[in-house]
Amino acid sequence: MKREQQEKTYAEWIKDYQRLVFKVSRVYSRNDEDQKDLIQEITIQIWNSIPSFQGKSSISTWIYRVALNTAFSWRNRTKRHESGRDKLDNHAYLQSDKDRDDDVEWLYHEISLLDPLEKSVCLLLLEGYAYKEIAEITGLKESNVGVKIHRIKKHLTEVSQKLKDHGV
Amino acid sequence: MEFKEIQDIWQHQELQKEIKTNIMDTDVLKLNRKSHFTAQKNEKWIIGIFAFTGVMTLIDSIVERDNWQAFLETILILFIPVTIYLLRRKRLRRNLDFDSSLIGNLDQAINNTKSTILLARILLWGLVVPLEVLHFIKYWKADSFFLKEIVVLVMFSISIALISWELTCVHSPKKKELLALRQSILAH
Repeated sequence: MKREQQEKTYAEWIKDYQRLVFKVSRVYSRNDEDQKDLIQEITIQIWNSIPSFQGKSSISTWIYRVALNTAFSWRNRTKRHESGRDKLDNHAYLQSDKDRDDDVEWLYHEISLLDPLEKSVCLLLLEGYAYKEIAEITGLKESNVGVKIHRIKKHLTEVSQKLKDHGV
Repeated sequence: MEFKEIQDIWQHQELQKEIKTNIMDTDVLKLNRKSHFTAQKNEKWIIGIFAFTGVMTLIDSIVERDNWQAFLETILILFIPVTIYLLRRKRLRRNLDFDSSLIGNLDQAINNTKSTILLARILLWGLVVPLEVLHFIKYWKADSFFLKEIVVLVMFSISIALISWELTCVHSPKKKELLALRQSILAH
């Protein structure tokens, strides 16, 4: 692939799928600085992946796979700093900006409490991907995806119900 | 709340921030500007300082006609601004060969950093080391190793150490970092 063509594809992909990159980076990062780093890592990996894209899956599925794999390895590299930051971020969530959409903030907070693999499944589920596609992207068995989805759905609906009951 | 409602919230969320589509370009552009600024600053200072010092020592060596060492020192000192000026011209001409794409900007940054490394090496091996040797010979011949002479030699040694440190710990790692980034971008 020629470099000019790669640059054109890269610009198009980033423009069209920036929402996706943003969501993945926000789910796997702990603060703005982390998110900026992760966005950069993901965009570099998207650039690197362009020549190997054969069109067997949709572009969004491909980018999701690249973004999630990058987020996983990035998270492992930065893992040692995580425990100290969790508390800080929960605190930040409690004092979140009133201008922000509270429901969306709540949702990101709930996702941040899941384990890394469940985060991926939850993200893809919320995006509307089918079981089979989620299994394909995450590398999990379909039955395993089904179990995780059931658990995630149950957890989110229960927590939202509790919040509603408490008038939050 | 039903799961469908939660999914709706997720899918209709507003982006809190815009991700720049050219985020990588912007970062590389910053690296390029920084490398150009560093190279330009070093070149201008060195040309200015050594052109002035060279003229001063030239006057001295004209006054002391038979002092071959002073004459050699003048040549060495004047050699530096001329070389750096030529190096600067070469660097700027080479920068025109690169386009304004991501890789083009990165190649410019690499070119600027390589030029800064060469400049530091020229300064070290083309001036400071030979000057120290010349001074040592001068003091040896005159048999005058007193405090002033020792201080001069120590100052030269400190300069050598500082330039070597800058080369090893600042400029060379920067070059390696840029080359690694280039490789990562081009890796298929």
